[in-house]
Amino acid sequence: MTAWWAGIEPASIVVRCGGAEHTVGWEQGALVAGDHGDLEDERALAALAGERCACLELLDAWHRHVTDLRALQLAARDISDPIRSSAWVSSPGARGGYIPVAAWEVRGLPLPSEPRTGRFPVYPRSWDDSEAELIALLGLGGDIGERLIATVAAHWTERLRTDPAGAAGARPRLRAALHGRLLATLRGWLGEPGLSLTLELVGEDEPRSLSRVAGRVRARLPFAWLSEIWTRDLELAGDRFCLAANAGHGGGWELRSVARDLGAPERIAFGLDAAA
Amino acid sequence: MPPFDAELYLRRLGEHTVLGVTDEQPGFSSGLNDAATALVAVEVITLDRARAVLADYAAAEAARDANGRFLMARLSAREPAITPMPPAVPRIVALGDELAVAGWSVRLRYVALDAERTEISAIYTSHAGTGRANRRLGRAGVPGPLRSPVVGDDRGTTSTLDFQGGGSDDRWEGMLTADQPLAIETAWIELFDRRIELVDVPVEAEIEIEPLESIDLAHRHLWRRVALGGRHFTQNALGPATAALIASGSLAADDPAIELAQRVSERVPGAFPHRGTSGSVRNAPEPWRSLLKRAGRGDGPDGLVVVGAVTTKFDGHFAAVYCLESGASGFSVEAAVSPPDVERHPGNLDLEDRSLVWWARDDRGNRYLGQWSGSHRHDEAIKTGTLGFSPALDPLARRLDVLPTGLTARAVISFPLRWNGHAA
Repeated sequence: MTAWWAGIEPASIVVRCGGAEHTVGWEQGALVAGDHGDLEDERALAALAGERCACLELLDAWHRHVTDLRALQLAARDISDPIRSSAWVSSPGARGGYIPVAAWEVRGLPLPSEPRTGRFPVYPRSWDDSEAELIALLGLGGDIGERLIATVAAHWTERLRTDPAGAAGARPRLRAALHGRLLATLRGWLGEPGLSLTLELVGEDEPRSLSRVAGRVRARLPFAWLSEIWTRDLELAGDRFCLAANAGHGGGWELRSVARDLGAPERIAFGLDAAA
Repeated sequence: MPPFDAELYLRRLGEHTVLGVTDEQPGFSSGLNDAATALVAVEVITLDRARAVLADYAAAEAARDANGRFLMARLSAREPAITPMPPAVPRIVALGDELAVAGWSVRLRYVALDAERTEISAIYTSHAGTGRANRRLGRAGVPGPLRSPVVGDDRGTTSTLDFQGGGSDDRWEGMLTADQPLAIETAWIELFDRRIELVDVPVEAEIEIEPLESIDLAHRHLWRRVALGGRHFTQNALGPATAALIASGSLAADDPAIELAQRVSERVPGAFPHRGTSGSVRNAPEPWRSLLKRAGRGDGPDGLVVVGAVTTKFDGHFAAVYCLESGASGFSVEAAVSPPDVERHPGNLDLEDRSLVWWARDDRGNRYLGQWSGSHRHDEAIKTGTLGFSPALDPLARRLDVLPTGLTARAVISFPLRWNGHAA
């Protein structure tokens, strides 16, 4: 089976850590603080010195949310739907009170200011620290937020595969997460802002399809489509909607896809081999 | 067909809202909120589950917008239950005095006194009469001498009043609130260099609690939505609620009540926005038929009735009616309710559908419907404010019942219309 991170480009951001600029990067499914050695040693050293290590704190924050279902509700549905956490974080007075200052100062992301008083009322806090942290992570830039979504989607794909009963309570949220992203993709691709979509959630190994019935677009897809296709940016390959993807030779993909007429699916090669 | 999944229905609606498929603005005037409220009302989703969905999508919207406009929905979605408290009934004395102050005519309507507050209802009218209708709230445009006058009582207490209200350049209407309360039993007050005697009139209100006839949950919700007023800035105020009720199987798609309720909602006098409709409402059930038959009349009597009545607990609420003031086009009732009703403002959310519907009926068979038009003071457990009723009171009516109506029971606060004061 293809690893869930195969085909997803590495990503990185620059973090101000201990007065220096460090790089925190994502590659092959893991977030790594490249400028630090053994993380536990670094953690102990920082604790002994009474200092904070921004890279470590960012990694800790990341690990707190790698299975966080809320990420699928909060994150972007497509490229036209950006998370504006920088604006959000920088206006705590209007946003609902004090927002915790993230220890990891990321270049380009303004730090929160103190709550405003006076003209703008300071309401009781309506956010918990965990939610604020998650929104900040999703808006980090450098594609790190997108990689967090890929990680969360992969986790829940695996949960559905290995523990479907345990994941049953999450199914409405998972299905809605798939519905929203699928709808965003299809609306743009077909040029139909008012497109009506019926999504039938099927098992990973069941037949997949995309068709039009009485004006409505009808999709039969598994939640795994998000991890397998959407997080790899394969949903629209060669102006065709991709139903399924398998790793091909030379880093390319073998796709099962449909054209704009939503006719019968065809297999196409996409990627390096196809280009060659 | 798979069984209806209410959470999934709401989450799909949330996705559509995030993507801008609908013209709704979540947390602002959201169809998602209305659909959730409808599904809670017909008991196909729990309150906690619906609240979790709304909180998720309010957060999703907030992460996309820096204006803070989703904050209120967010807070409402997490609002804890409020234990109902009986409102206090202040001593209320009708005034009716008209004074001339600094080129303005000051009409004092009534004074309310209790241990914690002294409030005087007043209308200021300019003698100059600029005619400019520059409506605003607060007191910025109120002339200086009228903004913070000093009031005194027969015990030697003096207090500065603060005007809060709304109006235009030549007419202001609102409440003067004392910075410290006067003596409740004072025989007079002094204001604007005038001594005003306080003459109590015996209160003759009768109060009963009545159970409501049972009605299926979907129809009850539909008609309550009509009574509580349409959503702002939408063409089809009932659309998201009825769509959710139909999708859940609680209402048949061809149920004639759907179209009738929509037509009635467009005809309700005083409703915002009032659009009017060409459709017939002859088949409207009572009390709607009796409400609509006097719509548009401008023959209401002028005057004030002191009531001063508070109910026992009914349907999880206490309600109080302090006084009624009538004018040509409608009448207003100073009232209180606990737990507070949720006003139909953008961003407000009444997921439990707990607000009372304020009906009234007179002894001539007419019906009236009230909507909150503002609160006088903030109290977490008790809302005190003004209900604007429409249509105009029948000038031949001699008795009125105010009917704060919950889901299963209503109070009947009945009193004779013995007028104090004079023309508004």
